[in-house]
Amino acid sequence: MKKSAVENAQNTALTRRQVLKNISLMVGGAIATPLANSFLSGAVGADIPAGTAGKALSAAQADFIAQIADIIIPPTETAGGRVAGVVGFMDRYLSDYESAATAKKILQDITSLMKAADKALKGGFMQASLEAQTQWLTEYDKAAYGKNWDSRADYRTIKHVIVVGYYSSEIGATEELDYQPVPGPYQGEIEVTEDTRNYAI
Amino acid sequence: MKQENHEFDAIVIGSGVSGGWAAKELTEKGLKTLVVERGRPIEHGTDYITENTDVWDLNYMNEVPKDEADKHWPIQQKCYAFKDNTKHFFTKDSEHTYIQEKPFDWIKAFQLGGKSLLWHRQSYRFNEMDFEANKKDGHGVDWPVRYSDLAPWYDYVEKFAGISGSKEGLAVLPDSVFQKPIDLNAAEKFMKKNIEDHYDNRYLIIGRTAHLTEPTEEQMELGRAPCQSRNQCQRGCSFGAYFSSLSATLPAAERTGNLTIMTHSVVHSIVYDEKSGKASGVRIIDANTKETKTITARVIFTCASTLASTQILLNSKSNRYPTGIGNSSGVLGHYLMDHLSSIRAGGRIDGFEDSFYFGRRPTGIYIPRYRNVDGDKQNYLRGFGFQGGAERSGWKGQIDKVGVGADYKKSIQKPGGWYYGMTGFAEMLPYYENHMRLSETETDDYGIPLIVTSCEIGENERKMIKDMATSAREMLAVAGVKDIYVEERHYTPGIAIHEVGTACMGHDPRTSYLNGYNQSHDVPNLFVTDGSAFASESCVNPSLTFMAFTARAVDYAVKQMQQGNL
Repeated sequence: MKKSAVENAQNTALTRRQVLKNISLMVGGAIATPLANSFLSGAVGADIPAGTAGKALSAAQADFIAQIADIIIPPTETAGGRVAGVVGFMDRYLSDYESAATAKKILQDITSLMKAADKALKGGFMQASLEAQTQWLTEYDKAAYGKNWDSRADYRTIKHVIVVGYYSSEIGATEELDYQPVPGPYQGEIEVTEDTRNYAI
Repeated sequence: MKQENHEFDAIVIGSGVSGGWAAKELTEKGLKTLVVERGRPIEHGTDYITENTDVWDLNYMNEVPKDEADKHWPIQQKCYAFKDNTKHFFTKDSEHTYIQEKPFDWIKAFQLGGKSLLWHRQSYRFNEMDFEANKKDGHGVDWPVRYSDLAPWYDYVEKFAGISGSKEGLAVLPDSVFQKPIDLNAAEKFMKKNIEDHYDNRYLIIGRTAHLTEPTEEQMELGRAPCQSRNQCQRGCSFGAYFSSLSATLPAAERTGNLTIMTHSVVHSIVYDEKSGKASGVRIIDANTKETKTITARVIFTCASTLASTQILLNSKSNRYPTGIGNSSGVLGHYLMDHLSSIRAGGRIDGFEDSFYFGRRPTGIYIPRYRNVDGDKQNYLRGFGFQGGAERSGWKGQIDKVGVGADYKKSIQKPGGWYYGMTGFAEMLPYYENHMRLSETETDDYGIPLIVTSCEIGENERKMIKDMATSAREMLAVAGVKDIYVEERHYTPGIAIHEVGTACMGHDPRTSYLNGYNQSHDVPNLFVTDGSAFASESCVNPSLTFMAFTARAVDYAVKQMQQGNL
């Protein structure tokens, strides 16, 4: 039996707590589960305020990443990369996850990208208009997947981390994508409609 | 049943799939049973500390920081299930080591529940051919049992554990007692039709898995609920929707009032009493204080997992058994096996843009063995199966492409095209030379000699791997897959995490360690019911067979005790 994404989306209105309660009643006893996982709540910190450095990113790098994150994933009906916290994600990725050597290289690559941007835009990248910045990045990005494939692996890595950061964020996962923490019985075939979106997880 | 001169009726070493079943069966039959677990206790539900962590609260893509992974889990990180929010269930290689004379990836989970917390839940019965294989082709030691001996015990454990799957009536993959199967998706149904129309003896079916889809009364009474399709089982599941010692067998054992569990308790050796010719108990080292004590019992079940069980047996030395308790044959440690999982294949499936799925399915598809069955004859012995599945490209699959801005963002929102991927699991022959033994010089923190592993594939496996690659390519083309890739990745024994053998069952006490009831040929009250007992490994996942052998062995042992033979 095919259910549409809309019908399934109604399922998401059931909070995790309600699903647990329903199931607990069915099995005749409480299901013990740590609904609020405090284990990792300290692991993910707040985003980096504008003009400040992170643990790995300098203030200038952080501001640059925020700006290009908002061009790559702009605010549409849902928030863009900056508000979603991509900069904090990138900073944690570099300081907490990556090996020291790789993180150092990526930070150098970010600086190189900033230099390329500053060279291309009169007065520097951060001073240019959003239109000019967007035009530059669009062309740079196009070449990175085309004629300059070999020389722009660094850029593709930076973009990858930015975009992963967006879709891993609460905004990206719950507003832009379809977030289903407790789906229920698996349905192998449902209809695709206009409202169908990729799942966050 | 308790006698004055034994502290317990039964001791079970280990609490994983096998140990949990031994505990359940022994306690339900009225035996005061002690489970000795070397690792920490884990409480079902409350100790699943990352179960509900949202994706935005996870480290980068839920991966363990690289330096940390390399330092503490250099081997465990090779496991597909090793993530930042499951790492606490994997034993740290930095704290527990072994010696690889030849490379062997030993995936370890020393804790209450063991690898039953982390397993992939794929559950298949051995078939008739599997039990006859050693006798037929002369490799390894003839199994002292046949499928018909195990069949009623498969029924028995499946009813309790809860196995979801489809009835297919295939001799090569005998049906279990099933709860309703989980859905195939549209692309898989397309492939299934193409494969089954074209070939005489090939099938693509939903993977059979230890997940509840229609919980029984008994399962619900244990607090178990139907699977919620989160596919995050290795974090622990408070719904108890998949089978583990913590969700199923240990709670059942607890309810009898006959169960005692000791955790942080490392078994050093099994005590052999020369006068009675029996095992009298186990020597336990407290993992924290390093104090030793001996606890006695009428019967011992060794269920510590393949390598760990044999380590204990080899280390149980006495005048009568200088090379390990019950080891008059000298075969203890030999015939180490693991499945070969080096071949991966897949590609793209066109069409089906209007079809999607809901939920994160915890099982994939299964293509049962078709080689060296039903008249098929290859230039190698035994066979393999494939596990895999089809999916639509999600957000992760659609970000590494040209584009910035609103259109790029919009395109990531929509499910992409269908892709299929699968991995082969092939049977390694039982080779006497593939073995584990104890180091003569190196010990661990408890003074227990380190395990030395020595295992490698042979010519039969090399030929089979070649055929797996060719066959996969041909079959995927028939199935309708485009842009087919076949890759052979580097394989190290152990990485399939289906390691079995080293304390093999057999008819003859001169060439095997255990008889047809998992009972030591030499020491009648010593039973070994985990993977170490296997004389061969089939090509299917072994855990369901651990369960069946364990339940059957306990039934036999208790009857023997009731008759006064033990």
